[in-house]
Amino acid sequence: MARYVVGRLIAAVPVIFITALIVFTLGHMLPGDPITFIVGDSQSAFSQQQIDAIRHDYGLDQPIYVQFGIWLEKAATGDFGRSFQSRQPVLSIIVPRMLPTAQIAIETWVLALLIGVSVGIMSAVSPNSWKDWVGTFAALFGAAIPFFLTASILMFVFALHLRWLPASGYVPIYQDPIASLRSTLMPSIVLCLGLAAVVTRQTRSSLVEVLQQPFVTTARAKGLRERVVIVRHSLKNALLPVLTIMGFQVGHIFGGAVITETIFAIPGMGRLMVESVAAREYLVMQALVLIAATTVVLANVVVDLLYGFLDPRISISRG
Amino acid sequence: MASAIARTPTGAAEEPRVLPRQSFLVGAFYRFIARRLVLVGVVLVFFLTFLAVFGRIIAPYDPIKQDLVNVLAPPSAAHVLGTDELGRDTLSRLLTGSTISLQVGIVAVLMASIPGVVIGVVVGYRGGWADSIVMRILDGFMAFPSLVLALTIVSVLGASVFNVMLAIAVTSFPHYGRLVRGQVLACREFDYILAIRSVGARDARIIFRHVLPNVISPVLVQASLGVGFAITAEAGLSFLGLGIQPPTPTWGTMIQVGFQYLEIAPWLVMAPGSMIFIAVLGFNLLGDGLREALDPHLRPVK
Repeated sequence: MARYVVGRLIAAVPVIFITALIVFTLGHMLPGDPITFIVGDSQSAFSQQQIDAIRHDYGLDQPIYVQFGIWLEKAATGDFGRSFQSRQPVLSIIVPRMLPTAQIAIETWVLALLIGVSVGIMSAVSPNSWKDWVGTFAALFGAAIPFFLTASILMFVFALHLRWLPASGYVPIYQDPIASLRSTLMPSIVLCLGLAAVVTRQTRSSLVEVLQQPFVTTARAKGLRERVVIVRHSLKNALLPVLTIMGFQVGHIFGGAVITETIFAIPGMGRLMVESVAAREYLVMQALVLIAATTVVLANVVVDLLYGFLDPRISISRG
Repeated sequence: MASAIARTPTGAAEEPRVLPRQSFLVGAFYRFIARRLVLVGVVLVFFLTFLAVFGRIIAPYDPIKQDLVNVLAPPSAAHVLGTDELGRDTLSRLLTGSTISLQVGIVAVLMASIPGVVIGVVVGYRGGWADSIVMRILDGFMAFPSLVLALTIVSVLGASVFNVMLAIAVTSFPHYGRLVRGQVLACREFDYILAIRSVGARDARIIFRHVLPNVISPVLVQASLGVGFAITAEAGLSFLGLGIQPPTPTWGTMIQVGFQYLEIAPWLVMAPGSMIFIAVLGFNLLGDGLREALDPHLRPVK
């Protein structure tokens, strides 16, 4: 089992390496001397000697592949350099922004799973019925509706008109859990629709397939109630592919966070990304992009591992 | 990660046909609806194309002409969708914006699919170490959340129509590469390819005459879905201020400004938002229809 886990992790290393290479290359496509990103606008405050010393310190006088090595080594230990403007370490700027994004991501996941699996079951148990069509239509709409439209409707109705929910801002969960959930409810709903659509489609198609299996016929022949047949016997098998889909969608949540956190003024990583683009804080951007990509890769590894443990057909002892 | 994909049931293709418990007529009705959904997609895409081509001509007002006495006017006979914060006609801006959206959508898909298909065919056909290395590189690109990568690329290269299209293309070309490579790998093993090879056909001939026609239909499906994605992504970038720059009206910039006036003028966000919705829905339905029409496994057995 340990070999299986280690094997999966090792398989992720080249992908993370490539993403790091892409991020590094993008950073080098920026016009100008990279030294300005380190010494900042206050370049004139440094003597030429000091600048040369810093250049040497950061390895900027080295060949490009050595620079990549140094950068990667520092990044691996969490050293992404210092912010241009505030001179704080980049990581210390990013870390406080992680909580809102992670919280909304988790809420989005849970909502998408609840909605998607229920609608998917509704569709699958009576294929081609009106219920199935309602499910299909819901999935079509959920997949096509842009964040902007959902967000504007929700905000207009529930925040500006009914005044049930705050229109923007974020309350940390450790301060006031209820207020925190209220402040993240709308962004989570906005993000979850597309994901719920994918989950609905996958649940429906895999459940329809499972319901054709002989063991389901056996369970029904034993006289089990349909509810038990579906929930206890079929769903377990049907949800495995759903899990994979959810793993692949981590990137979708990250990308969506950029939009929703801007709309709802949530101080998360997505908004930090937009802020750093506007302020030309390239080192913060670089770190955020790398963290996002690494999270996606690791999420896929976790899904792969879960799959190995949950699906008895995959032997994990073989590695 | 490829193994995870392989394990997923191929979905619709193997989906067993469930014997309907209802009468033939009811079944026929639902099948008709099913085809009509595709038709809806075709109609929506045609509608959008019409707007994109003739939008500037049928627009009732100049989309960038300001009318400062008539700002934030609600929908009326003179301004069907009201006016924005500078008194510009929302409908006219919407119509003009459709040109840019569709243009970005289509060009970005071409810029992504052509290199994607070439890479997929070449490495899929050759196989070996080149295949492994290129696939890892594509995995690397696919690890980035699309919008985050596009945002980074535009911020590095600068905001312009071309850079927006390029950024969207860079985030989506690996999907085409992966898709085509998988198809080519499967296709390469077919007996008839072996037969053609055994009579001495050259690789180029095998690829162009026999492999490409077999892999192109999933690419068309992906491309149709891709246009919808590209339109959303363009709107997202413009919304964040990194796409196409004002005063050129685009749906994304209209939405960005509209959010500031959401309480008093909700149409400023909802109108362009609905246009994006229509566009994505249309291209998604078209893609679904193409998938069913082009997949030989799905052709109903009579």
